[in-house]
Amino acid sequence: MKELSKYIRSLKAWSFTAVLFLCAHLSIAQPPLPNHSHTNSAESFVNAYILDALSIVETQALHFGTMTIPTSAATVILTSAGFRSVGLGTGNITLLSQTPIAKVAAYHVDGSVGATYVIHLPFSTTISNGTSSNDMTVDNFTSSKGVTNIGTLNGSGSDSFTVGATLNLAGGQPAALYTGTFNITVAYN
Amino acid sequence: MKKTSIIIAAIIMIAGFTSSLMAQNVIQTGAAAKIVSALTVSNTDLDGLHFGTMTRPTAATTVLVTAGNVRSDGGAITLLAQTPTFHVAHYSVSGDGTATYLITLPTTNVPITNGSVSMIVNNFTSSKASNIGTLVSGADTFTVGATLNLDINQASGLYTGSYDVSVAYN
Repeated sequence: MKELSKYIRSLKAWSFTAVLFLCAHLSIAQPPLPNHSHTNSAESFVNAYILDALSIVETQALHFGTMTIPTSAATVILTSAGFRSVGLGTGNITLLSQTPIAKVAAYHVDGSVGATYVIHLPFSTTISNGTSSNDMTVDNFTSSKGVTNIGTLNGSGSDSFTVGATLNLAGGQPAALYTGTFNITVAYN
Repeated sequence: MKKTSIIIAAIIMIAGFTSSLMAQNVIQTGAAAKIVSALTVSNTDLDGLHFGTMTRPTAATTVLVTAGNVRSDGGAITLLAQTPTFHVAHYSVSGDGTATYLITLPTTNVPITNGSVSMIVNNFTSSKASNIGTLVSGADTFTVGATLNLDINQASGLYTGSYDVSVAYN
């Protein structure tokens, strides 16, 4: 009997120990599970580009040079490349090489590197010798940038271009120095 | 020793009996669990959201790029077509089947800087109504636009910054 109770006591002790061990095992922290989150995010850039102000200066004024009095209506064409020729009225006017000589209008533009800009040319202007009835029309302005009139600023943010036009003379246009002005506008496009 | 064995045996038998007694009141019930594959989102543009090229404003103003890729301004500025050009940010989403997901856009101001000064981008919008999308065969795409806020005579330069967009099954 004594032996049995002894045995039962030790059995209880072992059971208790076993239970304790089981509980202890369960209470040890588990290794973390892999995080399969149900959210996900993406980082993105956001950008904007602001250009420097665009500026223009004239480096040379337009001049059709020296010529004789036309015997009838004539036109003198000055290309943006500086080539002068008689349009209408060949044989009725002579273009002379003495001073003042023909010069294209020339401009320098500044702004942001690589930016593009458009040149707005005037439709026409007039030049006068002081007597309004002798005013001559200058029209058909052209630029060295071709028919699109678009330029691109270089690696220093600069560019230049030239402008030519056509002078319209009446037959017997009086001899004089004729002057006038016109506006050129440039704008980023 | 023998008594102990009998006791143990009895306990086992009682346990066994108990189980079979309970079997008469068992009803079989279906149980299931669906584990969905992870939802991911990525921005597919190299340069993210871009407001494009513009002049310096002559007054404080805004430039808007809608999630529909339309750009407009609040005046006192000229928006230009030359490069870099404007565009929305494009995202692709992948996940499970036809699940729906919620897009979370930035709710605080995002600064962009030219290295010296900054300006604020905010009011982010997505191309999804209520910012909720539905996957089709586990995939979907959406776009994001926002508003750029410029100060009077905001300095020139290339401004850049970053923001986060997140998605979650809803």
